[in-house]
Amino acid sequence: MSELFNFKENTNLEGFTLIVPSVSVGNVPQLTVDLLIASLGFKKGATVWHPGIVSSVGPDPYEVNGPEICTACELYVKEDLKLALLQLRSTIDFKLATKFFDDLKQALLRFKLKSVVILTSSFDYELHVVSNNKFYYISNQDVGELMKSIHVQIKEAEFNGKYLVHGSGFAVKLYETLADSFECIVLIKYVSEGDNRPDAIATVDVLNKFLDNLSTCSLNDIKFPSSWNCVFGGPPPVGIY
Amino acid sequence: MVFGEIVEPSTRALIDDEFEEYPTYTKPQLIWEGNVGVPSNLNTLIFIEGNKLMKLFNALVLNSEMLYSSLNSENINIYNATNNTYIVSYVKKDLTTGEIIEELSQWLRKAKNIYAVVSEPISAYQNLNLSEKPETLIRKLSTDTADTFNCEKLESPNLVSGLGAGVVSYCIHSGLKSTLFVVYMDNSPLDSINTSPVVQLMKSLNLSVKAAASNLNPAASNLYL
Repeated sequence: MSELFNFKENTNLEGFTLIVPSVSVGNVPQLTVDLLIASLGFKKGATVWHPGIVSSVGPDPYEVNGPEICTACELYVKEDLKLALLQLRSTIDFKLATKFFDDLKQALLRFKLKSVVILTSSFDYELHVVSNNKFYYISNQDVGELMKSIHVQIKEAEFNGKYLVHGSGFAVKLYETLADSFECIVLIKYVSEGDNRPDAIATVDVLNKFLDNLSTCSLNDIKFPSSWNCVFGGPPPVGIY
Repeated sequence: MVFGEIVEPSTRALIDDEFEEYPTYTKPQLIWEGNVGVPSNLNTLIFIEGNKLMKLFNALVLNSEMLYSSLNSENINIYNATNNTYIVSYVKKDLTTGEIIEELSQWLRKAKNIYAVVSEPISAYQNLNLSEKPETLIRKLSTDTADTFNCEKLESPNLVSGLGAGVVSYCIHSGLKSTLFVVYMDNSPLDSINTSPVVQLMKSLNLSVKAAASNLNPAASNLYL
């Protein structure tokens, strides 16, 4: 099998923070990563190929008529912020998921990353206490005070010690795989499915507040990528008039 | 789509709560029938995917004598067409596209030209500047900037999945040149008008195309109702 990551040029990710979106309700994590790439000008650092990644290809998602072809999984890097983003545009195949997570962990260990942030979302109706605070976190670090100050609550484990986050995709599994080797945090946003762009902006806002690397990113500078143009479909067919 | 019809996607997020219990992966044992191994004269490799395209290729390009190798358990056939060109036909079954690509990676590394032709419903094609869609529309995505196919590039935000996407993804990752053709077709029966762009594509791929095909849409039964 070929290498999981194929870098375009020599890139040293030592000390970087990696953000990984889990495929989950409303695709909020992927939308968040899209916003970060488009707004902060991340560059594509590597292509990622694994038999467990459900394939997809398309034209450049961040530039109209751009030269790039995007694939299902790519690594974006911004060296001055010491931040890397793993954008996932499809999902991980169920039967190959364990193999993918193990291979990903081995590759990430070689990078000597500082920390990993897993973004995910869950169904709004699962919340027993409905309030404005819809962000929760799971972490193997002592970040309670910091999270409390930005109104992100801790997600309690179930009685068997496992975390149960419905609709969050592979987030918990990936956390369990990586937590013994990295500083790791799962950021959960409870959302309803619909127009989830505001949820993505809210997630960027929370990331700004707890990731030092992102503190320079202002919400006023947020740009939507060109691939969001047809969120509600194309123009209506002329024949209906 | 008719006026007033509401198309609701089931979910956009491919949520799978079964992920809580993950199986351990065991690589499938695949037994090829016919010739085994990559042919020495392999020059061009073409992947085709989708029932309509299969029907057209079977009628106009392929015949059973061309069959080089097959994986019947997984609906994969490889045909030896003219000009050192091999055609891989595929109908989705149990194997993931990633597993198929791994199985055929030696073929991909040896081929000088790699093409994939996939079909998608025309309703899935999104373009802000196109309110009237033709019956058949072909778009391409190519890693080869010097390719000479007379075909427009696929526009954002259209995404393509399946084996064709897997082939191009693998080629991008491995530094190989490849071109993906996406044939957007409506749901009407195949005829000489809506298949004409595909026939042109077959010719530009240097395939030997039969002059005309009969019985493209065989009747399911002889009953009128």
